[in-house]
Amino acid sequence: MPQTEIKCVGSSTFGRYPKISLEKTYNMFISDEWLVSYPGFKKVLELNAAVEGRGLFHSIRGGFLVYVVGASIYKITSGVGSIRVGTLNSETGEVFIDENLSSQICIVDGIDAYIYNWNLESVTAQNFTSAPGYVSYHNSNFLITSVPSAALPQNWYVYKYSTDTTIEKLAANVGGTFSIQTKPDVCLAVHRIPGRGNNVIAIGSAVAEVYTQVGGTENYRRNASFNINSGCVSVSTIAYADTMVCWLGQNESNSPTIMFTNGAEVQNLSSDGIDFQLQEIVHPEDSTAFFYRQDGHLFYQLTFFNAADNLTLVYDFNTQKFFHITDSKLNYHPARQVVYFEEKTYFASLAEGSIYQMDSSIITEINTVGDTTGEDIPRIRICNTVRQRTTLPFRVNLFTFVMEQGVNSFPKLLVDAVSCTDIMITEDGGTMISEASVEMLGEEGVCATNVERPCVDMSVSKNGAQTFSNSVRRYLNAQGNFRNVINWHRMGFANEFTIQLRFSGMQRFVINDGVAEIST
Amino acid sequence: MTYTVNQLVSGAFYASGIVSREFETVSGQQLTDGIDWLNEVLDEKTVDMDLIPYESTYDLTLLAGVEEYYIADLIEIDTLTFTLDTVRFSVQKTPRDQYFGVNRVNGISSLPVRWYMERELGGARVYIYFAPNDTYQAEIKGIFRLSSVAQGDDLSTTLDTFYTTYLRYALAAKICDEYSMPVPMGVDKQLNKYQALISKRSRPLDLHIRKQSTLHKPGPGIWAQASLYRGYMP
Repeated sequence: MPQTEIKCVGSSTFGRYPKISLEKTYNMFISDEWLVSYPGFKKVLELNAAVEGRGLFHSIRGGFLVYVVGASIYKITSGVGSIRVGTLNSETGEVFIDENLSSQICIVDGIDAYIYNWNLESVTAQNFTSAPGYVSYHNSNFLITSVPSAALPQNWYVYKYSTDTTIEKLAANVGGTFSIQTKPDVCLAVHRIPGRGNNVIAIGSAVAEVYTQVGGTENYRRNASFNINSGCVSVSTIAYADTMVCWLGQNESNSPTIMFTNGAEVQNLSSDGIDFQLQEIVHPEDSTAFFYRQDGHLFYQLTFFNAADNLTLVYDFNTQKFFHITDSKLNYHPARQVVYFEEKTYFASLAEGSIYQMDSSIITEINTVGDTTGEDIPRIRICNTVRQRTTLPFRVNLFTFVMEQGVNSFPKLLVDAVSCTDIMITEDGGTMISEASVEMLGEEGVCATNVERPCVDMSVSKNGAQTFSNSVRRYLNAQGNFRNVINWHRMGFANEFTIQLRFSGMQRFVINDGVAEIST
Repeated sequence: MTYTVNQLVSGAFYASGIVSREFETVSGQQLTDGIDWLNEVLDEKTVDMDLIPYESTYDLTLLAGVEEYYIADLIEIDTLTFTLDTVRFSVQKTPRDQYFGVNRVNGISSLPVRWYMERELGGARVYIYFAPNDTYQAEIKGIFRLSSVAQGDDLSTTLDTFYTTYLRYALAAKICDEYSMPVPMGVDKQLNKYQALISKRSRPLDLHIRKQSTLHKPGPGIWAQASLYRGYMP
């Protein structure tokens, strides 16, 4: 009987329309040609659940984190202890943070700049003439831009240490002020280019320019032979790692696309599908992004958190593929800024004033500090659509794929267990005692089967991935039962056939490609 | 236990592999088509009598002077008898050429001696000779068409489980044919098995030997028989 490959291992390919491709992968990524779970996350610190986490920064020199929650600035110390160190004048929106060599951490919230001196444990608002929009440290100075509504939004400025609690702008005649030149544009952000020494990139809304610090009174010189004909949709999407800076780009004539540069050349992560997907974003300005390395994979995670968009994509630079990432409720992933601190990865939550730890060893979303189990994160794979070149119909007699089983913490004895909770009533505080095999009757009890039993739900589409059928479940083996065959039989008659797999359970999932037996 | 036409048609669609039992349900159009095709399968048995598992008894009232009787759904007669007082008399089957092709006296009313059956649309026409001289209650043992079915009919009241299972596989094969798909190997195997069981065991071949003298050839019945002993030959 003819067999056709089903790509259970794959990425999100963003077909322009479902008929072209609906291949998507949620909360999984490809590792050594196997599909594995994307890291889960657990809450390790809750400061204020009512406000958003605005920024998280790791002070290398200080050995602590700076966490901005609502209007409050916290110092997060070893073991995720928190100390409130100051207050901002604003309460919402992402903040940008960087540190210089003088124990000064500059926090920019789009209204003011603040200097947190961690030696003095003081936070001081700076008296800037125009509202700062972005800050980055480079060669002992802070490079700061203005917000687009400022008087001279095309400018970016160099600030140096002034006092322990203040910084000051260098004078224009000694290289303190620069402006976007190659286009009539605003300057949204300036950031050092990783691995490029004296080079920084100034990103506008429609163009980006590379500057080199040359010293002297000139200070920075624009690279006259190179610029990038794309600006930035949102400064929150600017992220850097290894040797590149990445952002959600656009210009005056092109729709959003993901750009990255190493300062010498620029590339965009463009395809018909992803560009179409990004064009469909209603509020690209409500976005955030960061680089994140996990298990050797370098991810660029981009989130559009407006309710109208509600989307998180991650690009794996190792495999050069996109994946969809969500929380346990299939909403956007809550991570805003990620830091690596004391051998752990933490992120600030977009949704609330909490810090989460993110790791491959965490398989669920744990929203209570101290808990070990949490909400199941849905792992979904929508596979390739199978068609015949002749478009003639066929029958799908069998679908099977390779996956790891028996590695969960779901004990065998509980496979069919029913747990009951009953109210037991005694009088006058009397002790209730039962001897072996003697039943005790309760009142108003509730019984439930164990819903945590790991399983795979499969549904199929026979209309070009426009709609999917009901799900048919296969339960996975209990702990220690590694040998397995997982399959579904007799899936009917179709001339195009798409499989959707949904993996549920408190365990890791390791998936390889599958095969469908078809008859024509 | 109730087993409806809908269940049989759905089961056939599942067995055919056209509709998935777990992922889909049989659509309304498919159910309608399936019932039509099931009735075609049932109707095929009209010309493939081996696959009708049941013999039936039909009470026929022979009327004085009437030679022809149309009986709906009749396919094949095994025996035809009538009762006079408390005695059952057999009526002999006569080949077509001997019934219609030999000399005989018409207009005689007496005890029925011979019969001949012709298939017609929706049933069969039975010819009786002599035309009965009185009203007699006759009994036909034979095979009748399987009734057509409609949505929601309960098949468990008219067919045994083995036969509904056979019909399910037969309909599955027909569905495959209608969808231009090959019949699944398992369905084909089961269908052949049930066909063999039903045709050979449900209606076994009658291999009893009946001796017939080569020196005597019975005629169509003569006037003397009718007049002297009213056609009856003990």
